[in-house]
Amino acid sequence: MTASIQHSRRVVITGYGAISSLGENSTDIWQAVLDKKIGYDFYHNPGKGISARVFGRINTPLDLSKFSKKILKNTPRFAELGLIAADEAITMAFGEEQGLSSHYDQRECGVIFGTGWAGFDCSAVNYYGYSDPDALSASAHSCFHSMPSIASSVISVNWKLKGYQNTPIAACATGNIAIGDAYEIIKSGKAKMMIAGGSESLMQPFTIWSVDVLGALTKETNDLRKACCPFSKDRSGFVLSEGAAAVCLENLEDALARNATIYGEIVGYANHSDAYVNLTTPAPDLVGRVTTIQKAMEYAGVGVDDIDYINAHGTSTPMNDYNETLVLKEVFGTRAYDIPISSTKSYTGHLIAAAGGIETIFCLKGIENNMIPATINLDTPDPACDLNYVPNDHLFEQKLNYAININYGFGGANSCLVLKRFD
Amino acid sequence: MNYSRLELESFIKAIINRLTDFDVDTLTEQTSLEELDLVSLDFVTIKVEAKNELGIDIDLNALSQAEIDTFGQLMDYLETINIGGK
Repeated sequence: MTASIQHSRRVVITGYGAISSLGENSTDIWQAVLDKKIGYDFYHNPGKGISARVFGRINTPLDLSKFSKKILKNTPRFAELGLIAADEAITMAFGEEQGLSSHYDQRECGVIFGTGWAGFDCSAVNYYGYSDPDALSASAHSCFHSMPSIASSVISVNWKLKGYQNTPIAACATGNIAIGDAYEIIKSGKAKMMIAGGSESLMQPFTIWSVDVLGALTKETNDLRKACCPFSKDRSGFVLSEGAAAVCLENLEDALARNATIYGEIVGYANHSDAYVNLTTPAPDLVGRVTTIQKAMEYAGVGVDDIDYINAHGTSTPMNDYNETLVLKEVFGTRAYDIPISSTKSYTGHLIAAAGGIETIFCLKGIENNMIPATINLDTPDPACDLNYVPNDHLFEQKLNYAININYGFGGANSCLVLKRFD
Repeated sequence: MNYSRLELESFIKAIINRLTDFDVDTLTEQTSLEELDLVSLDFVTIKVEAKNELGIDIDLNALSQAEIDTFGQLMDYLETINIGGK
């Protein structure tokens, strides 16, 4: 390993993986999107004081047979999901034998894997175990079950990634930020290969209540098509879902040298904060969001006419979808009306920290298939959200060279990735 | 109550099975702790669960000074402190 650092390296995506309530891997999840399946359902007794009735839960047991119990003993569910997603991404990039060491010094390979609320579920359970006299005990692993960096840690341990490790925590923008930060690390020459993404699992009553009480979750109790209907007049909040998504990023020259299949290139990334006091409300001045998209495009060297598809944040909350529409009009001007824009959360629900990763994968799948996934459940378009949100029908045979993936988060976190077809 | 050696073995084997990749069906009195690949955190787990489930207090400092090399010696040690449990 040499110490010299060169700047402005190109960064490509050579693998990806995901797990959600729509499927146990990215292929099944994408097929579910093609088939317009809804990945969430009614749960009528989520817990005391919780209004929401619709959630995206993975109801099948997780297949963790590939991982050592020595790793799993420290691993809460959100990080288990992260291991599964990372495993698919690494297998896709390096084959079934996952022979990273044949191509890279371990110290040149790292991980940036984020989460919004990490092991909040475990913390709630362990606190009960600790404080309730009738409960046996909290787990001796409570510390690691609550540690936000545990997913980054176990991914690093499992694949012996001895390079850069970090754990962004930026609510619903986390996954995009993880990928963007990993892109910057490779671009700067500090690593040659990075696993990046995010994971989330909030399913305990107390942790669900902590989000529900904010009024952020869907109010729909009867019709699944109205539970998550981004940009529709009927929207009432987001669907809390669990899952994980990861991408494998490599320095272009190294990827080419080992004849890796390249699924796309990251050419721009930016992150600017709202700095707005109401942590759940998009800033009305639009500055953070607008600057984030403008700067990502500027760094990518592309203009508004170059963008062929936007994967919107599109949470299905009244405030986000309206604010997001205003932001896109501010950035793209009249061109905003022409660009196909969709929210794939209409299929997955809101995967929180995993959203940025899985939506990056959807952009790559779209580029690969010249196809733009529809915003499903968009039956009653909101006149205030009057852009081309691709209602209900996928667009095929599209020219798709540049896509942007946008994710925003509580606390004013904003992120935008610019993805390019590799040729 | 005092627990039989068999009960203590069953308790420890269940933890080893949960925390390590060692096949507990092949575990013998002569199996070395090194083979089991137990790390310091695993002994914390054993201490916490022994206290909660069996009422047995394990002093980890004393345990580390007891020069225990094998599973059988670990069971001998647990038997000696298996007094005054619940």
